[in-house]
Amino acid sequence: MNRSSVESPENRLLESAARGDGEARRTLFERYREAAYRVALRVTGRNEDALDVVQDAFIKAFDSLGGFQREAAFKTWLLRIVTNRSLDLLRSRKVRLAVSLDRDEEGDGPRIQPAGDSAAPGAGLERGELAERLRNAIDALPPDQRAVFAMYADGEATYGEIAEALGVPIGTVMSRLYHARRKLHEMLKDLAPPDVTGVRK
Amino acid sequence: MSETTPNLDALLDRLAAGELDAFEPDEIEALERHLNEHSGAAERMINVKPPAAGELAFDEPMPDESAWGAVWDGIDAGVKSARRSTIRRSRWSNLFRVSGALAACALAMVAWKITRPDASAGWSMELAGNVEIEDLEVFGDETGFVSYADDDSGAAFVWVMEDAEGA
Repeated sequence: MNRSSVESPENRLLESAARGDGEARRTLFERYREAAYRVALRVTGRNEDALDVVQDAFIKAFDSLGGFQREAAFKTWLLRIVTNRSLDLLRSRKVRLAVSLDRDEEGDGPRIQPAGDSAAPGAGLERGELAERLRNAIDALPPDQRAVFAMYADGEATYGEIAEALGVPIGTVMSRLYHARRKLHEMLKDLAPPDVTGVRK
Repeated sequence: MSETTPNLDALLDRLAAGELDAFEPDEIEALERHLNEHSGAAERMINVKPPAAGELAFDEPMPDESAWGAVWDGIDAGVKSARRSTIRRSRWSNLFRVSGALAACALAMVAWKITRPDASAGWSMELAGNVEIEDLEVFGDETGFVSYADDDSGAAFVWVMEDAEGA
């Protein structure tokens, strides 16, 4: 731990959690669990997987808290762990899917479908169906773009924070986000008025 | 495609103004390279927020309290298990250190017996015989070991090691 950092309430909480204080850990968990869950869900696309990722990420974070350098905010550091765990899970899922396809089996493979196949286009879609279409479209993004989009979608993070959380340069964040947004707009163009997307043709 | 070299400062201004979607792919490529290669350009964008997700965002229902409770129970158990695993690793590490120390001690004994100088050459080193250790006191987190050589000389080596667990 960087003892010279300013003793904010959050830092005191982190100090206590690093010493093994269960209450402090629980407070950190309750403070950041939803942000972690949203990122995990956007990357993995499944509620159960997202909860598993959140659990693993907090275990890893609490176990490594003694070595956490407070140059980054705890939230940014935690979300970096969440993103890495989510991407690991995607990779292992891809391997499982390949094995499953080799065996010509159906079952618990990933729920990735082309966006156009999952629901009828148009404004008549219910809110849940819209969310499902959007989630399927996000699932169809390449993992690196999906990770950037997951960090970005809450609208709270700056380019710098996303770059720090993902461990990639700012230019790369900007480029991945650009391509992710373009692809999503393209996949969901039947849902939005033509002038809303802002994509120049 | 832009046919001229893009004005990177102008592109950065547009990016900072939230015009991400309005760029052409070649402009994005030039901007990415510029931002990644020039720290001054990257610093300009550190605190800039990308354009709002707007229609690309959706509110996912959060897990209920019972689901969060199960996640917390898993975290609590996982942290304790990780701690136990660290302690086990530490114990093994301690055992390896002790074994290593004893092996080094035996090696030193063998080397000394082979290479010890002739007493007629002047100064020589002898093992102390007939030494009885009545009391061995260590302090703090240290552990004492007494190792006897495997012959009848009565030679003993005393090791004082820091407790690896810090307990």
